[in-house]
Amino acid sequence: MKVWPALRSRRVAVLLLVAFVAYAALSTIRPGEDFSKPYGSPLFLGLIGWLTLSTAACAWERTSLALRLGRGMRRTDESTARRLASAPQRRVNLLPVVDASSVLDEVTRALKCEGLRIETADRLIHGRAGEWTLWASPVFHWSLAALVVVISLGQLTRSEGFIALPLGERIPDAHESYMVVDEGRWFHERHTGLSLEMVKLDRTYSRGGVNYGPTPLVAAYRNGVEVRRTWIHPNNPLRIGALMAHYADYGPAVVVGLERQGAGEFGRATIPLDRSMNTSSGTTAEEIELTATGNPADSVKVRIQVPVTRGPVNEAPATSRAIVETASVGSPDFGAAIVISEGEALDLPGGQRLRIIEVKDWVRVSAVTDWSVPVIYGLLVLAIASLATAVLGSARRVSVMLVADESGQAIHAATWHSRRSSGFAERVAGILSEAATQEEK
Amino acid sequence: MSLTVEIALMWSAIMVYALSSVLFAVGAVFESRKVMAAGLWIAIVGLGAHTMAFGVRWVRVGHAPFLGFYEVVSAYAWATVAALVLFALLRPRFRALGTVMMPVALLVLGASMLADKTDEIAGGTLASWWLTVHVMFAKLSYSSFIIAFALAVIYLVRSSAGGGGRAKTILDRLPSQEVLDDLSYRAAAVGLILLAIMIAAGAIWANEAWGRYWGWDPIETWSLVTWLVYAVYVHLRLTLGWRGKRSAWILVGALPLVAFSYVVVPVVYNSIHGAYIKGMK
Repeated sequence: MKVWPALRSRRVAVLLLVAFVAYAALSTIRPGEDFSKPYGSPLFLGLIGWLTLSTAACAWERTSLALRLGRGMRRTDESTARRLASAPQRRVNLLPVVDASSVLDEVTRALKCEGLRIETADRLIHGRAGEWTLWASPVFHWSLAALVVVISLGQLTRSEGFIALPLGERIPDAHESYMVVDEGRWFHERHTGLSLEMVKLDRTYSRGGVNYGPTPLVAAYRNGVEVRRTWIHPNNPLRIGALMAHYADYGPAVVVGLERQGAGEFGRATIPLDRSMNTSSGTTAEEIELTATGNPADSVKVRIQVPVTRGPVNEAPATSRAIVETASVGSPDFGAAIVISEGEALDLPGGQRLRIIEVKDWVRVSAVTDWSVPVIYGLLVLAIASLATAVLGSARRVSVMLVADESGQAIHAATWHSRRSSGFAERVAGILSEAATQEEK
Repeated sequence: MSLTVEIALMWSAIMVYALSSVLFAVGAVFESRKVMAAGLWIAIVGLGAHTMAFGVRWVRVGHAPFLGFYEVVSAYAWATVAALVLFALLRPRFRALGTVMMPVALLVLGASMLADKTDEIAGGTLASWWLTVHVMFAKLSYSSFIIAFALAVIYLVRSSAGGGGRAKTILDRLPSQEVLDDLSYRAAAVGLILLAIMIAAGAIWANEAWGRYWGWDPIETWSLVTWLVYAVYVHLRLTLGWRGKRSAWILVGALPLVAFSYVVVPVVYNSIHGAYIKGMK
């Protein structure tokens, strides 16, 4: 099968569109929650690839056609005049009493009222309008093809994931900061290098009469300098460069410090906890393994929860306390739960101590790095504008010539409309008839 | 203002739409232009009651009718009647479209009245001016598609009746089959553009609200499917010369797809997108 004719074929293009419709419709009938999965299949990618090539081929063809038609519209040479004289689309005889010299003036005036730009030469009038609309269809098809390419490249170079932002801690936008992250095949961990910090959490944030509930104020830093600060809520993400951060959830976080007897604090960690309806405390319990001595025998499993209040202030930490259970590594049994307040410590085996340094808020933000979004928006606008122009706009041309032959004086005319509108030809015929005040031959 | 007033106005609109539908049907059967004209004016009265009902609700809930099955579906009924009234006033010869569009509006409004009418608050993700843009173009595109549908139905009915062989019938007073065919194409083409704007506005809004412009959510997918069906129609017409009956049958078949995409899919599928029609509860 020859490739170029297949790509250019309108029937094939229609069949591809129908195949796309069928695939998309059938894909929504599958059970399960991951509606996007079918669109990563080789079958779909092949279909989209072929459709894109077909669209590009169509765009190429339409570009050539627009060039050709545009040149044709502007042509006012002798060949046009000869064709009009010998084989017009329409001939209207002038009444003998009609002043021939005024006929062309009358026709010119009427055609200008139709919105046509007029060029006159001797006994010949050329009128044209809307040439620019000839480019609408190629622009539309090129923008569609470009849209698929940009979307594809965007998906391959995109990163999307969740970052935990404990209050007052500056977290870099880097691979290791993400709790879970999905990176495109060509992303190569090229994060923005910005740092994010939750400055404040307002549990009853309102704006414009809308209560958004718990809303974080997040600041972005570049090289240590704050570059933006935004209250993040639905429809108001933090946006800087290719990074967009949306607020996802909040909860209590525990800052724990591990101390070694006689040596002070060995290290600290911030443990974010998710709010949970399934526990008595109100949060999930996180398990971590700790050792300050470096001796595996001294390792301890620690399970931490934070009691939260449920009520009008949206599940704030009840008090600055944590519920802690400990177990030796290798043992499945945790000891009794102990409640520890901020500043207090729990003795662990091996001369270690676990101190609850702080109980505070944290938020989970969804961070997306995608350079292609503004480009996609631009292509969408271009595609829609060109589609509207292609469908609703029209290019029109009229050529009118005054001739004198054995039958008498007459007007010869030729019209062309890009959408083959019979209405335009009828209106021009009406103009000619009125100017000639003569039944057409 | 109370829900009671709103519901009373809605039921008034239903009764008036029913009367209008009957008048259009009687006018078509007995070939009476006066009866059809009465049907149109009665439809305008019903549209007034329907609009007042929306106004009462808007004042109470603080947003236009775009949340919950009741609001969304009754808004489509309103758009149907508004499209008919506008088209028929601009082109009086097309009053006969009411024989198709008024029964559709009546059924759609009746269906909406069976739904829960609890007030829905537009908060969170829905608190955005993109909602107005997105919903407005959804209604406008639907209006264009139903005009195209009605013109196509009339075309097919007249074709099966002999293409206007009988003189002095209501259908014969409509413009020629070629004009009907051309107008139905233009209405569908305008709908295609408006639907493209709706989809694009939805994608931009989704990115603002959820951080992704497209997720193959069934509602998004079926909107795209609908757009592609009309794109296929335009291709078939412009590049392969499909006109007349073939063109009309595609438009008749496409409108149920529009209804399925706009109303049924959000109800059937569980997705974040469907909250607007299932309610925010």
